[in-house]
Amino acid sequence: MVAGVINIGTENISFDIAQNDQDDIDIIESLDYPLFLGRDTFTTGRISFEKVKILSQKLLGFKRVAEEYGANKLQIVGTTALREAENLDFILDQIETRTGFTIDVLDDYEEKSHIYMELIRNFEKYKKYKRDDVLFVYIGTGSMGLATYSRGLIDSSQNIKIGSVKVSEMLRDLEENTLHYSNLIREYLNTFYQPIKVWLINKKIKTFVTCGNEIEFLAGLLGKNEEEVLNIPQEEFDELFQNLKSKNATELSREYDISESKANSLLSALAFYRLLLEVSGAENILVFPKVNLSKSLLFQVLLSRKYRRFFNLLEKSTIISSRNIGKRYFYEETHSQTVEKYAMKLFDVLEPVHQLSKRHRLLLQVAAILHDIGKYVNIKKHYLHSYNIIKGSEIIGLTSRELDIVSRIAYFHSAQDLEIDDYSSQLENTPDKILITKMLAILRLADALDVAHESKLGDIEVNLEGNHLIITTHTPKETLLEEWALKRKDNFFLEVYGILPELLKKV
Amino acid sequence: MAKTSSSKTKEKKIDLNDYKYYNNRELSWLDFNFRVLEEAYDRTNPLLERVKFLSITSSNLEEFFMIRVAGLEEQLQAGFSGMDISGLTPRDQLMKISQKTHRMVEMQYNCLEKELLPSLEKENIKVLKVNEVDEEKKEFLDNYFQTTVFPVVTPMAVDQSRPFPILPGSGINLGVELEDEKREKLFAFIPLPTIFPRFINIPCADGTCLFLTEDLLKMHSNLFFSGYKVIEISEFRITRDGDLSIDEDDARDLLIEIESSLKERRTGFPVKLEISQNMGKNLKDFLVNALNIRNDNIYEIPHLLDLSSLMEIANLKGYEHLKFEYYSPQPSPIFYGKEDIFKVIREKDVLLHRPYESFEHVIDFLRQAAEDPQVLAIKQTLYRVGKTSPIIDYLIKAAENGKQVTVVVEVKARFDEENNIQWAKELEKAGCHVVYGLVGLKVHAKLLLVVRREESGIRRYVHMSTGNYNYITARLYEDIDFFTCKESYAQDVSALFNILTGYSKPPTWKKLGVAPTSLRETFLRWIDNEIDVVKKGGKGKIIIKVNSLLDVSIIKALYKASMAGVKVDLIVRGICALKVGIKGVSEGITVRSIVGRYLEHSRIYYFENNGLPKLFISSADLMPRNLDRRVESLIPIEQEDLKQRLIDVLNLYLKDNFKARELQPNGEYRKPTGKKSSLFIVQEELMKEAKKRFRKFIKKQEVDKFNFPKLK
Repeated sequence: MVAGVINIGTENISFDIAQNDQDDIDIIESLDYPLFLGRDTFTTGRISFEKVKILSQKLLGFKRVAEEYGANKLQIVGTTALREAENLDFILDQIETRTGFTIDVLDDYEEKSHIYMELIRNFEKYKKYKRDDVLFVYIGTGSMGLATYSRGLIDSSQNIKIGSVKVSEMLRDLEENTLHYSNLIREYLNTFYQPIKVWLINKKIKTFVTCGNEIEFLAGLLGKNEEEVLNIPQEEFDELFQNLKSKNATELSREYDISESKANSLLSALAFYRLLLEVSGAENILVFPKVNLSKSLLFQVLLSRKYRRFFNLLEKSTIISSRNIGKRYFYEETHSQTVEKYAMKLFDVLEPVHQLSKRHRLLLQVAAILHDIGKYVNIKKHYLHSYNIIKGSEIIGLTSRELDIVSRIAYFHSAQDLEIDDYSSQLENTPDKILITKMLAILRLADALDVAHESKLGDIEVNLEGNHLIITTHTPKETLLEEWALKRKDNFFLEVYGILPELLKKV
Repeated sequence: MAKTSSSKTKEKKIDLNDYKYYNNRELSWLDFNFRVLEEAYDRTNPLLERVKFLSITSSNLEEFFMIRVAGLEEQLQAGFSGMDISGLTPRDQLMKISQKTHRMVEMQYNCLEKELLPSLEKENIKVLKVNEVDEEKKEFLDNYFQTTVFPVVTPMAVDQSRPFPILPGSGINLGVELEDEKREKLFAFIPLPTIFPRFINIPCADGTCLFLTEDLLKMHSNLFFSGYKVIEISEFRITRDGDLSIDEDDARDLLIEIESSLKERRTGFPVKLEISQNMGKNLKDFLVNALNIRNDNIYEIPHLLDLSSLMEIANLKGYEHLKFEYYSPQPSPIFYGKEDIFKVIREKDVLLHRPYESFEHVIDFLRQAAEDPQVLAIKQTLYRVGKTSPIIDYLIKAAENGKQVTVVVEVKARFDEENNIQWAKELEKAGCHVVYGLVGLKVHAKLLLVVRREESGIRRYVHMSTGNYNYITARLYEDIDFFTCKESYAQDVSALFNILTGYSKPPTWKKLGVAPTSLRETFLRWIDNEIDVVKKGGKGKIIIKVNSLLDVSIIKALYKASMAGVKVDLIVRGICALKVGIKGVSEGITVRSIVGRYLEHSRIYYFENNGLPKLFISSADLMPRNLDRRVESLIPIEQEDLKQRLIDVLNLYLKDNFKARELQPNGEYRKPTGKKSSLFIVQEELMKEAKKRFRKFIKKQEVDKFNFPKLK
């Protein structure tokens, strides 16, 4: 099979065509057209229509090339520069009218998840580095992603809205007024030092794993290239940093015969990596030069069965990092686990009724884990705080839309006597209203079953019989409170599913 | 013009920027044309081939004036007085060109009148003069004139009220001085119609009788000007500036822009005026004034202007004994009889040497690609296609068969613009994706890429060449073709097409050297490498076969190599700005030029690399225009047997002792001296070898057939 991925990036529109070759993919063609969309988005906030015109032309050209190879699948994705353009909707519409193409503008989190999966896939082989905690670093053009990786899973992640191109576009005006441009970037980056330090507090990072043009170029300067993985010890990096730090982009571009824009992002990246080395105390940088977004997407298309494992890994990482967020806010672990367990059970039994997907199950699971997290701020109105914390957090593997769903579920989870009418009006403009409602009903039920936060009901059995949902418990304990709670929340459930939950006690 | 390099041989620092180390480009080119002229004089060549060589010197010279001399004239007009690499200003150059060209013209006509015409006459090919026409022939000519020529001839009168007419460049005109009843003088012109042969073939009992069209017009001149008296009538020819000036930056549609500037070529400013020797003063003065031509650029011709039309005689039918023995380009044993050309290329890389081996294999490759259902796409560059071409047919066929066909047509290929525009339009109509090359760069690389879907996935086949995809010249030009399906080559070629179509920026090249980005550097690096080898105690050796050597940075590097002790053997057909035998600079360099039956056109580069030779073929000469203003490719040849073949070919070129001319320290080209007991002519040797190789192959095939176990 032959597949192609067009990536509309900050500097280039790139197009990769690949075919599967047993266990690997074989890139047949790699095109790069320099369009510098980032220059538009990061300075004026909008993408000019001249560029939209060129972009459309190039897309049609790429389509030709795809046809030349008989590509069966063509995927077009956009990243930061498109995502952050204020006039995105008009641009997408224009492109569609001109070319017939629909562009999938990737969510920042999505983009990073793809990269992390690719990094894991490549990194897994290097067992000796896996003994300690590892920091994954992805410096995009518009944002920087960090993730900690231990025991084969990503257990926490951070996303910082500052990228190599973005920072140089922002600081461009200042560049002329400073001798040490890299110092300037470093000063700017200092804002992030403390938060990252706190975030990494319980970690022992020895290695950080990364990819990208800039670090690849830097590795090249150290005479490392042409290998699957490049290892830069911290001392070597420091030396390089000392050599380059006093140069500005013009000097750098002249010295290494690169474009000035590339020199700029190189300087920013240099400062980023330096900061991360300092904060994390890592001893090595491992660079995987072949990893990039398009590769990851091509892999997923061409070797989908092989890739399934990485999606599973990612899902597990989502759950682990949700729990870790919970821990950070001192959540009530047993209650959270009980609700999670009940919610999953209910979800599975109700499958014929709600017909939601595996993905939704994951969202419900995350909501179950985190629903009470707001109590860390204040017990009063804790649902509101839960909402805010979840929405403001980063959970690896979830898109911002999904995070929004999860936080909304948490927001409504506790309201006593939630009337479907008021509720509906509150969610009026949410596109995922039905989805949220279905999952919310399950979570409310699960929560009610552990109203005392004592896991009193133990292992429950759930059966769907006609329009009755029979929940059987074998607990010898008093369950009056639970029955009361169930009653208070069952109205909503009935409204949503037309099914009445009943608690049955069998000792 | 021999510039004696100063005899002060103090072993002082040598400044390689010194003018004295370089030859002027134009004068070197004229030397080349002299070498072609030598072939017209060479009695060992068959008679009609000698006529052809003379004709070629004339058409060469015409283009030289249209482009090069016109350029210098423009510089002179603009007051530019900068010096070229040999220290000459445009004025100096024009003066020297004029001197040399006058000498050349003299030699051309000497050759024609003293050698060729008498010899032709002996073979019963006669060019009749007016007074040699008998009644019967006259009747034929009168009839021909009335029915055929007269209707298309348009005389143009000139007087105070009418401006000087625009006479097209390069054609022959008759200038006429007239007198009316009031004895008032006026002038008129008759451009010779270009749609008929210049030489009229009059039926005659024995041999061939030819008659010049201009003489026919002269015979009937009074018919054009009734009421006037013809005082004088004689021929002249104008050469006009033929360099198209296109502002590519502003050109919205290159095709339209070039089409319209092609019209300008007809009206470019006059560079040269040739007049019949016996032209009267009145007419001559009138022409010189009207055309505003410098004296240097006026050539008085004894007889028969524009020798390029001698090609008509050279191509006369029925005189095969006066031409080179027919040689049929041989099939390559590697491709011969194989159904699946792709399979052959999959097994190993293939090299062809045209015209010794047949260009048909290249056509066949394209034909198969156009018909093979597994082929998805074809991409090709076209520089000079020629007037008729099966290549275009197959590209169109491929598009009709639903393949994605991309063709990069260079519409700026000089003197082929019209052809190419024609092809471009036709290809576009057939549904091919036609690209007109890049702004400011001519696409000169010769590349053909075929994308095929095979069981194991996508595979790409590449053909690259030193010569154009031109069906006609493929039989006359010597070139190297290379086929491969190695991924690294294919990726580079594919990437190059993506740059040409404007879809991508240049990648890091895996195999190819590509102008204008990395070609010069690659050459310089390999030359330097030879110097390193010598420094480390090894033997350095470079052999280069090109059409022209003009790039100063390359010449400097070669001088340095020679100074370091590297042996440099150059086979440069045409312009060579490098000088040999300069003490302390170029003693280790030899230059030879081979002019023969086939036009030497391949570019082969050999660097000994301490016993692990590096071999390249290329579309690029060593001229600044090739390295800076064109898209060219340098192709490494890595398969051992092919490397050896190229080395063998180069050695044959170095062995030629008859058609080769060696550059002397005084700037002259001389045939190798020494005992001529064994004559060695490289082109003949290569023809022989190709024949032998194929015969041997066929024999072996037959033997194999007989060796099959016999059935009982």
